[in-house]
Parts: sequence; structure tokens; C-alpha cells
Amino acid sequence: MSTARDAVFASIRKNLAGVQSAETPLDRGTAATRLGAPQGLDERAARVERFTKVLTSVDGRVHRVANEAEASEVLRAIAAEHGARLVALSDAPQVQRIAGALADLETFDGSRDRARLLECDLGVTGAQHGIAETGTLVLFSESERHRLTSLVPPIHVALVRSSTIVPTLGEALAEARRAGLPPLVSFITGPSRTGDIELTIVVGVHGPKTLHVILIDDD
Amino acid sequence: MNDPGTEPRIAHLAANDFPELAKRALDDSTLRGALHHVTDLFGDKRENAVAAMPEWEAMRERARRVKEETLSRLDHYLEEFVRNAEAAGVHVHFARDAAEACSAVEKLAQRFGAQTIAKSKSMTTEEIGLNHVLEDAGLEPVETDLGEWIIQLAGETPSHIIAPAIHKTRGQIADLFADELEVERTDDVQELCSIARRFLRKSFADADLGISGVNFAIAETGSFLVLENEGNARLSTSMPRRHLGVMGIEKLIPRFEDLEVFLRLLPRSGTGQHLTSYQSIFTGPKASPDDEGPDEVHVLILDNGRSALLGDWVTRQSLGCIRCGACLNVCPVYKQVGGHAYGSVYPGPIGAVITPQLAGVEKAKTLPFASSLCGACRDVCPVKIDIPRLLLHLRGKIVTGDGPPHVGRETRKGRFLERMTFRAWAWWMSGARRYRVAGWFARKLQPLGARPGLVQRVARKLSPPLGAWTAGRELRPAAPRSFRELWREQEGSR
Repeated sequence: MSTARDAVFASIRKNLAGVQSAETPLDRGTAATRLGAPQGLDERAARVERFTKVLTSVDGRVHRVANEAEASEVLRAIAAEHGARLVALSDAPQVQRIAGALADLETFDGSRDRARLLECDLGVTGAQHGIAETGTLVLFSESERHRLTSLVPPIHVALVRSSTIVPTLGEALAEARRAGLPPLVSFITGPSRTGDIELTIVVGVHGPKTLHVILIDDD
Repeated sequence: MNDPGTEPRIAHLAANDFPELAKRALDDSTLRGALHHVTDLFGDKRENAVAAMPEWEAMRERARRVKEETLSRLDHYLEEFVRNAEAAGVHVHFARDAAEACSAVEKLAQRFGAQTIAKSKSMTTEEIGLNHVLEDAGLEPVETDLGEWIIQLAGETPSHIIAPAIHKTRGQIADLFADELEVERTDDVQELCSIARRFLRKSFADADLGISGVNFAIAETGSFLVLENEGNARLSTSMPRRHLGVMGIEKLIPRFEDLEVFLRLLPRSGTGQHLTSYQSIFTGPKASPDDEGPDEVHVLILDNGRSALLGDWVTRQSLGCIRCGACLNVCPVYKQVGGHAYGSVYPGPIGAVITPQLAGVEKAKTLPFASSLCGACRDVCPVKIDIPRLLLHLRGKIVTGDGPPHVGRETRKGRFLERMTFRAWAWWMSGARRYRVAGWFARKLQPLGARPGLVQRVARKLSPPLGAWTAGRELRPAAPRSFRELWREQEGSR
């Protein structure tokens, strides 16, 4: 008895027999040509500017700070604004340092305690890259345990070092491969949104209702 | 050619009822209002997004090329995908047809001891009617995309590829939630979304299995990708201990780099966004037990009639579809009748070509005719599928008896009448004198048109197509004086 796998392959081969494609496989060089990629993002300042502009246009809130101490202050203000008390953290050292400086918040590891994660007010994570073209955060699941902390709480605060912002989607994909393609690569662009009822845009239907990005100018 | 012994099938198919369903849709003014709203909004947003992209045409051509490259060597790329996915630790399953796919998922769910199953949006699972099979097996599949959840609660099918519940008003959804969920009735959209968030959070937490669709599968890395806006796909694939992605054999692209162009094309074509809120690229299960995410990742690869389209480039190109929905929003037919009229989970122009090809022309023989062949669908398609050409190809198949015999017999009389009508028309219109006489008659008979229904009655008697045409429209009045008369006057007065 043939398995489904063999049967599907046999059917594909039978139907493709004698088919001459007009298209030869693209060579790497052509495949990597970045059609539609925006230009002029070589300078860091231009990348930060575009990242901020595009992310803001999709309801992301961007805060630019000079160092980790300022990042802590901004995080304190964000928590106060939303009345957040219980805060989930990823296990990134920078996240621990910045959020750890806030003694009045109750923090916990969001990857360890699912029950508290479902109840908490806010999640703080890092992001491995930003994408200037699309105002996107790039999260590699092997770099940090931030899969659930960036997703389950109603507010997500992401810490991004401005040196990690790459110009375009293509460079972000190349970085993902360079990182060895972890089990999950997440691209996040703004808060969760839906238009499924009468096309009225509502944010926060399943994922975070609010996305804050704290951009740290690290050098 | 389909593999003998398989039975490609599309769930809940009523695609031969297009004329009937379309008539019903045309009488539904609420539906038509909603349709104009969605198609205009998505159409405008798409146009703006495309206008801001100078290399759009080059991108479409690249995407078409990559898809043709993949499909014409699909055995090679599919093998490569399976090898790399398995090397990354993904369990790969195959299904010849819908029944085999549903039973494979059911067996997996049972093996996992799964009761609640969190599902994120997937047209392929709609195609195979997965939910009903799982429900019959005593399991609880929960659609978690807001639109899909609404239609699941209502027991309906999607009416638009990317806005499945667009045919329902907020008032209808308010009633539905109040009845089904026993919550206090509200028609505030924000509130309705909060209710969904609250109810579905429990499903994500309870689910033992998450099922997602697959937007793209990458041969050289064994990865697959899901695009979404709500975060329900992220939750469905992050909280349960097992994740299953369901995909058709055509979802492949060869190289990781190829993603870039598709990521620019798909959101702009679908909703006019430069990027949807979330993209998740999955490559195998978590590396260590301490990590987050599912312990097991499975992929189910479905044929269900697709491989039969590979042999010829005309039919093969329909497998390039990336399910953006752009062709629905520009289609003059879809805009009027909406998705349900097509009687298939795949509506609109692309549905009119996919449905008969997958399910068999005899099961969808009216769909290829549900088009004016205006070509708007071809112009917006991000992978340049020549939909009008495919529609003609399918019409040919239906009319020439290449299709099943009962189709040929029924249409033979119509074909004869049509040929005679056009021949008469050509003769009448190609002589200056005959043309003049026809015009004179039209103008003289004009006053009769003022009598309600008379023209319609006469037209119906004269020839069936004319009667059908005037049944839903007013006959345009002829101008009181002909161009030739006006011209003569002008010339004479000089």
C-alpha cells in the first residue's frame, strides 16, 4: 500500500512529466536583488527616523533615550500611565537591569509563570533588531525568552538598541539566517489590530493593545 | 490527471447554484452596502499602497517568475522542503484529498489527547471542512480570528478571503454574541472585540493543539510563515504544546530571500498595509525543554486536486495564488453579489477558477461564466495570474464537452441560439442601410417602452438572453435623433 506521501509525489511527477518551464531557477544574485526596497537608509539617523515615523503611523509609541538609566525612567512613566503593577519580564540581561531598577513594580519571569502572565498588566522584552523600512521589531526566540511576554500582556514595552535597526526587510531576513534561524522569528509592527467588524479598526483584539518602543542610543 | 482513488473535494460546495444565490444576494440591501464598503476601502487602500511603490510591476513579475519556477519543479522543491523541515525536527504529513487530511488531523488530535483546538485563520482548513469532522469526533475546534469566530458561532462560511464576516453588521454580531455567549447585548465594536478577547483567551490557555494555516513554506530552510494582524495566530502557535500547520502543496517558495518580495506584495495587495502587524517564521520546535513554544511542530501537506493542474501553464498559474483577496475587491461581479453567491469557500474571480479546477467543472459549471472578463482581476493580481484566460479555458472545457456529457447537452441549444443571434446581429449591423432601418425602428418603438413591462415582455418572447438581461435592468432609451441626422443638420447649416 502506498503512503499518502508517495502518492502525492507520484501524482506531482506524473502531471509534470514533459513540462518545460519557461523559467529557469533564479540565481542567488538576482534573487537577492531587493526590489521595492527603500533607498537612503545607510545612515543610522535616517534609519531611526524612518523606523520611528512608520511605527508611529501604525499606532506604535516610540520613546528615544540616551542610556539605560533614562530607559528605566521612561519605563516607570509608562507603568504609571497605565497603572501597571504586575510586570512580566523576558530573561534578557538588559531587560532585567532596566526593569529591575524600578523597585515599586512587582516583576516576574514571563516565560516561567503562565498563570501570572495571563493576569499581568505589562510585558517588557528586548528585540534583536528593528527594521527601518516597516517600523518593525524582530524577535529571535533563541536570543531571549520573550515569545509569550511580548504577546500575552495587554501592554508590550520593547527595548531596542538603535544600532540594531537594519534598513530593510531583506537585511532583517539575512540577519535571521545569520542567527541560524531560531525556531521562531517574529516580526511585530504596532499593536494587535482587527477590522473584522464592519471594517472598524480596533487595536488589542488578541495581542497587546499598546506597543511602546524604547529606543536606546547605545553608542 | 488526478491520482485514481482520490476524491478532491471542497467542503460545503454549492457552486452550481450561482445564478440562484446571486439573485438572493442582489435582493439583500444590507449585504450590498457592506460589500461596497469593504471592496471600496480595500481597493482604495491597495491603490494608495501600490502608488507609493515605484518598482511594483517589477515585483509582480518577480513573484510570478518565482511561483512558475517553483510549480514547474514542484517535486524537487517539495522534496527539499520536506528534507529540511524534518532535519529541523518538524513532523511532516501528507494527504491526497480532503477526507484523508481531516482524518489525519483527527488522528493527531486524538494521539495528543487534545480536546480544545485553537485554530487561526486558514483557507485550506475551510476547503477541507476540518471543523465539522473534528466536531463530529467530539473535539472542540475554536476559530480564533475574530471574523472566523463570528461565522463559526453563526454556523456560516466566509464571504471574503481576508474579511470573512464582512457580510454581517455590528447589530447582527451583537445579537449573535448575546444569544450564543449569554453576554449583555452591545453593538459597540470595541466592546464586541473585548468580549472576543475574554472568551478566546480561555481557549488559548485550554488548547492542547494549535492549528494554523501557512502563507509561505521555504524549501531551502524547511521554514513556514504565517501573516496576521490580530495576534491569534501567535497565540495559537505559542501557547498549546503542539502546533500543526496545514498547507497546500503550492505554498512553497524556493529560497529564503524570495520572502522579501512576497512580504512587500501580500499585505499591500490584501489590506493596503505596508506590513501586517505580525509575521511568524517557524523553523522546527523549541531547542530545549526550558524554552517557550510548542514541544512538537507538525506540517500537513495537502494535494486535493492541486497536482492535476501542474501539467499545463494555463492551469498551473492558478496555483500561484497567495490568497490576498485583491481580485475580489476590484471584481464588478463580486462587488454586487459577495462571497456566498459563489457557493464555495473560494469566492470571487480566483474562486471562480480554483473551485471548478479543484472540485471538478461539473460541480461548479456556472462559476466560470460569473465574470464580465473585464480583466481588473488580472491587473491587480500580485503574482500576475491571467484569470480571464483561465475563465475562458474553463468555459471552453464546459462548452466543448471536454467536461461531463450532461453539461454539453444542456448548453448545445444555448450555443446554437447564441450563434444564430450573433450571426443575425453581425449581418444587420454590417450594412449601412440595415443599420439605419434598425435605428429608425428603435426610435419609433420608443414610446411603447413607456408602458411598464411591455418591452420586457416582448424581449423575453423574442429571445431568452434579452429577457434575462432586461429582467434586472431598464432598457436604455434610444436617442430621439440619430447621429447621422444630427450630422446632416450640422453639415447643412454650414
